[in-house]
Amino acid sequence: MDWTKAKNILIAAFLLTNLFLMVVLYGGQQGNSTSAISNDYVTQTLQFLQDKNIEIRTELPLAAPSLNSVNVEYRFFSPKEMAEKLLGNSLVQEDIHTYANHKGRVTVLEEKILIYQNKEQGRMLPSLEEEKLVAIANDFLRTHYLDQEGLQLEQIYFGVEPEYQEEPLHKLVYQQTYEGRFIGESYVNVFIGHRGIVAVEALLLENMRTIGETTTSHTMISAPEALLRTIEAIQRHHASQEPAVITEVLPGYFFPLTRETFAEGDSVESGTAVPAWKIVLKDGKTFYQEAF
Amino acid sequence: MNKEKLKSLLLVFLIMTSVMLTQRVWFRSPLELLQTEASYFEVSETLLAETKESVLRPERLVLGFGGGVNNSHHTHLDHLNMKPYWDHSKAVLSTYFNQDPEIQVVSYEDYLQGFSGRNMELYFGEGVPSVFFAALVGSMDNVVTQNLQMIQKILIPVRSPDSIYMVDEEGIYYQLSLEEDAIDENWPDLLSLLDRKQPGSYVKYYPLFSYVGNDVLLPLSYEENLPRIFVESEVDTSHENRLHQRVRTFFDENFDFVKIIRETTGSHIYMYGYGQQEVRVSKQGRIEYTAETGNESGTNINRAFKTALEFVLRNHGFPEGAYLKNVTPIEQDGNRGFSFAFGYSMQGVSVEQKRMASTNPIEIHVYGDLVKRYQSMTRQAMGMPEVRPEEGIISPHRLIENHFNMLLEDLRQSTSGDQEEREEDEVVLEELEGDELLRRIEDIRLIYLDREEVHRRQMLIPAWRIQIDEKIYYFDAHEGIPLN
Repeated sequence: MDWTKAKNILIAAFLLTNLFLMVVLYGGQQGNSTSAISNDYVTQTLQFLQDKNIEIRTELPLAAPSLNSVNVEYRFFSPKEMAEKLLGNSLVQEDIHTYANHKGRVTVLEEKILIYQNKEQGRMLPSLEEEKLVAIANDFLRTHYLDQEGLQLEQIYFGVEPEYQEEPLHKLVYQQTYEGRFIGESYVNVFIGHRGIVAVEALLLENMRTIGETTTSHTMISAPEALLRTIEAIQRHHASQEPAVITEVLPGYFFPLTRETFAEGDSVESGTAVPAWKIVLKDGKTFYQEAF
Repeated sequence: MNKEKLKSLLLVFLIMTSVMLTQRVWFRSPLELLQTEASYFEVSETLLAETKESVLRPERLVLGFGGGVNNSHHTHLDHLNMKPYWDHSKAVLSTYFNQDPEIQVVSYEDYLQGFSGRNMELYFGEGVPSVFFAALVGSMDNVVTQNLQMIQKILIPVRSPDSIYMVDEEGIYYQLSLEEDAIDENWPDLLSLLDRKQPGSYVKYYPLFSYVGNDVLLPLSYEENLPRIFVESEVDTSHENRLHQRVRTFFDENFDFVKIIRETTGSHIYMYGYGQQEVRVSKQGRIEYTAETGNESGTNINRAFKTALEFVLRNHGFPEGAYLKNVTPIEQDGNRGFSFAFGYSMQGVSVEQKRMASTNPIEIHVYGDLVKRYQSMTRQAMGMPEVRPEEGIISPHRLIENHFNMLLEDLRQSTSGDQEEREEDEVVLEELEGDELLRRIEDIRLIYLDREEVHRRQMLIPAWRIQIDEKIYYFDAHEGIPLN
């Protein structure tokens, strides 16, 4: 037998086998850049959306990341404790969820949605520049341990919130993040008027943990596809003739607040946040599209 | 020969890498492979047939030792002792289903005649399709299935094998008669079977209220003592990982995409997609599965039964002692299907739960070839000591006596509509009502009541289940208190 020839053949064979095995092993997990979609696909989608009177004023991510579901828990608040921290003493219990005194009112719904209203009139604020507003809000959050890790300021809106006061307010919307991506449904909204903080609303997640290993993560649907699935919902929300404007399309994690519980009166305490696309309109309305 | 040496080295290196990579691939995949194999469990034909035969048996078997109408005495057989009698009954049924019996509707009195001699009376919940019995004894379409859709009771008089009686779901009595020569030598010796039982000790049931015209059976005294036993749910809700494994089978490979929600009460909800498939598990261990079945619809009862059994077998199977209780056709949004209800027994005694909607431990709704809804709450014994109160089991007639006023009041309230029409005869009516209450007792039996309070260390209570008209009462058989 010609040993040299045999060796050549064997080398070639094993080389090929190894290549194949490596593709099998490492071809499955491609980290963060998979399934890039063609520009043509994107253009077609944008065109279709325009026909439906929807405009996109942001960059559409071409690649969809491979993410795992994340285990999350709601941060529970005790109405009495929070009221004591925020309002001090001499509290009056208005109902099972609400405590109040002359300084303000604290309500905690479903043990997790915190609503704080400030009745104290502070000094007139010299300026309402964004920087100043952010500083005031951050200060408040820090002082009252509401500045959960990963909390980021997302947007500042200006408008009327009739349940808090008649004059228009600045609304600072904070979003929680996990590993650099948004994780919802969670928020901190800080409402600031001329005399300081008027109200704060908060729904926070904690103890976030990825489930599974990276080898079991799944690729999300593409951004254009997520948009296409959300068209109907956008149309239902946006009634006017003017086009609906999308200002943000981002991948992240989503755990919806409203779900059918096992029985009435039951409260959700934790669950899995699944990879999802967040689509935000100019008026602030947010849509989440689960990515599988 | 440097080149050759290099090539040899390269070859060795490649072989080693190859082995290493193969090992890696193998390590990753078999775990996944094993997992998927474990979760997708193929139901074999044998298992299906075995299960079908196992769940198709009476909910209750009553032996009658004769003594004439109103004087007979009987006994209820529990599930542990039922087998030889059911086997013999099946042999009898086989003859009737495979031959050409004459069928005629008869009156209740005719039925009672058969009941007064030695007999075996088989109860099948609220009615089991006759085609199921036919299939069980190897017949398909026959004169029985043509006349009765569902069978609720079968009465087999022991002395005369040439006729048996059946009751359908509407309460109509039928007599089935065979020619003398249709009965061959292989006819089961039912007489000896009963004779063997008679000298033994068993609880005697009598038609104690026959003086008001009601021949419901109940014991005078209950000599045997049924223990209170500690049980736990078959579904382990204390360890989340174990719960995940248990629920996994409902979703197969989709489990990776399932969202989990935990509630403050301790219940878990597993959701796939936007509710295409959902499994809810309460803290006590009650499982509820729902799925969207679209336009699936079907009227083939055998096929639906197969679908139901396969579903349960694929998802952890039936508890020991499971039996088919009833089958009901159902309809939703124009789609037709069937609801199958199963019961199960512990130490031979049927277990029931007190719930608003239904007392069936296991219920499955099948539309077409898909299961739309499945719910199950079953227990298993824990290795804990039993509790046997010294006083033993209180006889049910004493319980009825002790709570007579309460029961009467309930009955009066529920029939108050009728009473308003006859106000003049009020005094007379009140007297009558006492007897009327006894007359309206439909059924009395001893069961285990599962109060579904906790997931573990739940005590099953022996209870007298007394049905008066449509209302069902449970009384603690040891302590005599109502458990409603």
